[in-house]
Amino acid sequence: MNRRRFFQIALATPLITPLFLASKNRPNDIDLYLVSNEPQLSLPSLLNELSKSNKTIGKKFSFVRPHPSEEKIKKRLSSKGWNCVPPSEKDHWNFSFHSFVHKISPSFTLVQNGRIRDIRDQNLFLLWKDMNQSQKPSTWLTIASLKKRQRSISKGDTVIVYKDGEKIDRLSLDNDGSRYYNAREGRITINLKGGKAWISESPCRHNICLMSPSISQSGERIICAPNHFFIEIEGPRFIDTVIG
Amino acid sequence: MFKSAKNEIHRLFSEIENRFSPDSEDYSSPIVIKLFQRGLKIYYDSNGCFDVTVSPLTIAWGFFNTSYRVPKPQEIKALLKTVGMEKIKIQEGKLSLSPGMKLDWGGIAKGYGIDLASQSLIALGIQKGFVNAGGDLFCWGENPENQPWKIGIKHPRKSGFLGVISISNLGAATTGDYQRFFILNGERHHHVFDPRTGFPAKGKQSVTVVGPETLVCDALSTALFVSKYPDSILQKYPEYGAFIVNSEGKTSRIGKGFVFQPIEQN
Repeated sequence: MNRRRFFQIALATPLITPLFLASKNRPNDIDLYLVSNEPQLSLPSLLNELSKSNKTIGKKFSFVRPHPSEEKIKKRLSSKGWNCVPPSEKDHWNFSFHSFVHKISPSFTLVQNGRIRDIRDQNLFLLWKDMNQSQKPSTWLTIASLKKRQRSISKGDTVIVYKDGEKIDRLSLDNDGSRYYNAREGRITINLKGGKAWISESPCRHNICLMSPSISQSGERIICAPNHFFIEIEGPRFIDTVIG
Repeated sequence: MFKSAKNEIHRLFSEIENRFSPDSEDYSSPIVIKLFQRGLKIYYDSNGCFDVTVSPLTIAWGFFNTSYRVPKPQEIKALLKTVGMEKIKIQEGKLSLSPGMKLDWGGIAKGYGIDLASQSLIALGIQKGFVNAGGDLFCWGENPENQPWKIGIKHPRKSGFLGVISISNLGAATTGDYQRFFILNGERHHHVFDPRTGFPAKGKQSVTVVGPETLVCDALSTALFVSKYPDSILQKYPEYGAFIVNSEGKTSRIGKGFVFQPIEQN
């Protein structure tokens, strides 16, 4: 399969696009996108080849997402002299895994500084050709990132106001100002400024909502439990909900 | 189905609120006795670091009515005589408290409610979802992208998140020194007391526990926050893992592993 076509399909996966866009801002990052239901067959050779041009990075890797072949990958890489390290350690390959709805031909593509890197001048082309011809169509995508691939939590654009379990208002974070709501025990005031929202007035006893820091990122919330009232930031998001 | 689910959630949490609110002194209902017994096990397993009898301390430090103050050591010493779950007996189907004792279910009732609510929703046929009540949750099935649920953990000191955990069919709960606190003479005094000393526990900013039951996550997050030896507590709960932020902001993980992706802090 054409490498650019492969990448178009990979980009169609909602989770991948932000990682690709984020790579543009990370010099010296390399991301390896590998389509294969048996990544353990190709990863050692691929990573060995890529590591030749990054001699400061040792033969270390970690998993940031579960993978059905995690143990096979660990075993295979360990037999080639690689070490599995905790994700918190610096300077190693981070593996994450996603799945496609449809099967596609095994392949891999390298992205560096947000650009697809030409592999024709390296041994990688032979590996790619061999993979494409010898392995079955696959639904799993392995992403191996050289720098820590932080999930970019996005800034939200709207504050959703909930009272008694019902959505009662939407406020744009682009507009500064204050809004007042009648809650069970009295008035609650929401302030908006500089793309952030917070509660500045509440009749509740413990004022936990007043003590909460301002929120601005998708999924963040401030809750006033006694008044069955909360506000939540809505926007493009890479988390489903928040605890803490 | 949605209406049934909503009504059931409302019913369950109303009951939890009635039975376990600070003003409630219901010591005979089966649900209260059951939660006490669950809490008692964790009390013993944590060497007293989790304890539902800390209410006199909560009141003395002003957290009950926001009249914040730092009690004198003699006052705290006297109050400690009313603290300790082992002092409570179950007699004639009722909890029997000594004079001066008062219960604070804050470290366990929310998790219990979340577990009950989740079980009800699953029984109603809801195959995927999460119940998030005030920052503790249980999630089951997969998210709309057919992946494990991605849960952001609040940063204890800044806006935003420490990181994201990817979990499914698990509960998660956080205890932190930023959730309820006051600052007096430049010192932060928070609401998570060490039941053995009567003072706010030191050494940590937040503890997040992940595991099969949110009730246990809730109580353990308090116990691990208080304890100087969280590893030894968690060894008794092999199905649970924890993410700890110490008082200097340094992070560590103990117990059962779960997928965690840190967020770069600016």
